[in-house]
Amino acid sequence: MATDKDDALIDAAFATVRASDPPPSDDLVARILADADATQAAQHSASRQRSLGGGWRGLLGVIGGWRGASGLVAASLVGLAIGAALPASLSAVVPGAVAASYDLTDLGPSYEIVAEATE
Amino acid sequence: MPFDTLGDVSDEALLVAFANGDGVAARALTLRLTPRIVSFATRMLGGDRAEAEDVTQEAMLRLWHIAPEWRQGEAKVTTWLYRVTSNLCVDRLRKAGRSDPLDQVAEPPDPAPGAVAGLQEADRAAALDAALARLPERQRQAVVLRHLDGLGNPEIARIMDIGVAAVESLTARGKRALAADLAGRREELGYGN
Repeated sequence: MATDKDDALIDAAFATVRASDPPPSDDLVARILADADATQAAQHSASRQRSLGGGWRGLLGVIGGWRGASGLVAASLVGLAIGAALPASLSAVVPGAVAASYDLTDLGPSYEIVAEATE
Repeated sequence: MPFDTLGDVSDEALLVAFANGDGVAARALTLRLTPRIVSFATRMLGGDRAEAEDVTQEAMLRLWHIAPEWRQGEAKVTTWLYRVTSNLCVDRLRKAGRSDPLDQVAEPPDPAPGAVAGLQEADRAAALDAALARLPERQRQAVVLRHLDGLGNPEIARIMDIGVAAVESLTARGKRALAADLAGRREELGYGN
């Protein structure tokens, strides 16, 4: 059983030890602060990358993810290929879809009115 | 060394500020927490200051890493940090095969008669630190946290992952062992009165 005298001794001992604690060395503080800087920079960079990637992820979500995006690209390429390589065959599907030739007035029917007005 | 100029701001708020990119918060936390942690680690490691500094750096690095996930109100930064430091110290002691650093602690110097009264504060502190280091690991940890770092028993219980009653038992046994160790040297250490 600790006596009051023992308690007083221990309390005095703790006070002595507390007062004798040396402060952390400047080198240790510098090392810790360097770690803090490096960690903060890495976390900031990772956070930036996440926010930049967020826009693309949002778009992908709207069109159904990578599978939806792949389907959309494939369909677009097929459509482009058909239109470029076989324009004549479209007439079989949609008669008159491909005209033999085009005149400027075909693109803008009101062009004749404009042309007459300027004569 | 600059003073901690953010004295009114809690450790938890500073850690969140650090996670949000505030460099001043890192400096304030370092200046505030490092002295306590390095002293605690030094005592846990039986007085090995160089190893204690490595442990402190590692514990603070883990604190910086955990900062983005820190949730205010769930835990105290000091509790978390003491616990990490304690685990790091125990790991090192066990890896080095000295979970009880008794063998590594030098006996306090045997002062010559007549020089007793003139023991300097530093010598007295060294003798007391050596007595602390002679305590079993868990008793030493509890006594240091309670009587040198001034933590409450519930916080020590969380740090040591034990119940409050176990903390009370450890600190009581530790104090008794310390008193017994120092009793014979009361005069020599200048505590005769």
